[in-house]
Amino acid sequence: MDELIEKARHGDEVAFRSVYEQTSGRVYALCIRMMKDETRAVEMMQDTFVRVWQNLETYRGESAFTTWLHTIAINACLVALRTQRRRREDGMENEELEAMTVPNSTDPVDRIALERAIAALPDGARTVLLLHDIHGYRIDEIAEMTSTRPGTSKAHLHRARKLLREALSR
Amino acid sequence: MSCENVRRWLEFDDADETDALRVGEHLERCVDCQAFAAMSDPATSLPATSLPDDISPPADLWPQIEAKIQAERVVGPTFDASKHPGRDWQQAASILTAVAAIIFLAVVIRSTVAPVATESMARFDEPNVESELAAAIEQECRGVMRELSLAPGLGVVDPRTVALEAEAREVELAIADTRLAIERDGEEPKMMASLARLCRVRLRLTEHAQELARS
Repeated sequence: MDELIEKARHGDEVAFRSVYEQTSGRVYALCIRMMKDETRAVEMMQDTFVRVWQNLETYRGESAFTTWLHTIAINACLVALRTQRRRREDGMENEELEAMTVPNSTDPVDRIALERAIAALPDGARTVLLLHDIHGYRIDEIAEMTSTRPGTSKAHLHRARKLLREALSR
Repeated sequence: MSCENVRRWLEFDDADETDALRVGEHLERCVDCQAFAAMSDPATSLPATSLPDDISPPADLWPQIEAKIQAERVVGPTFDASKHPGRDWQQAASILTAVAAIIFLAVVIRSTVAPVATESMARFDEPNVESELAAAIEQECRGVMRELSLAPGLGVVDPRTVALEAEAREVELAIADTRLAIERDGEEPKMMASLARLCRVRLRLTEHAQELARS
């Protein structure tokens, strides 16, 4: 992977495609849960990987490449969600939650219920929950990725789990 | 923040997310609220960990990303003119921006002062190579244009070369304007700095033209 990234940093598009192939599954899982809509998730994937390509020179290897990549994806999603929220506040309806389905389910009923409960979480809580419980990042890493303080991320995680449990127990 | 407010924040999904920091600080020091949040109960607190962290994206996503990269003339981070001709244009664009700013300054200067010939610019050594540089710019740009127009499959001149040639002429004019202002007002530090900047821009243009010719 490091070799591919280094090649991509030097403009090798074939190497960049290999990087995409190795990392896109986890980024897509993040995007689809953040955006709650497959079409929007695809848009975020495009934005993310184009930005990654444009900014590869700024990646210094100080953090794991996947952390850097996920940070770009998360920030793209959060910006899009803020825009979406403003539009919704202006009167546009949001039917995405009901329409949401996530592929690759092995236990469709429980998993869909869980996915929908996660999708219903507030943005901040959902972001931290996804990064922590699904993608395995630590609180301090999440705080850095989302440009917040660890205490804020912890609070979001507490809240996400509590709301999730309540939603699933109904 | 009180325990009551913290618990309300944790339980209601319409609570203000901007309070997260204060809630976090409270949770750090309040054992009761930590228990309320039930962080330590693995049986109930981690349902999301059962979900897959990897979901295959649509098969046609990469071609879309690739097309977007190419459409936006996105190029790799390391400059290699032979691999990435678009980067030449990006560099030229940044130079053009700098040139435009300097030209604007020169035009303003010329419009506000009447040219009066005064003493020479003996203390400023960069202009001593001006004519040589100008000739080099002209020669390089024309050489590149000629090469491009003669190359098989290239019926039109590369717009980057045309832009370089045009900008070289603009820089020459700006240098002439600045020199007139200096001749009139004397070697004022700001004017001399502007002239030095213009000369440096022209030098960069020359270097860029040479780089373009080599690629």
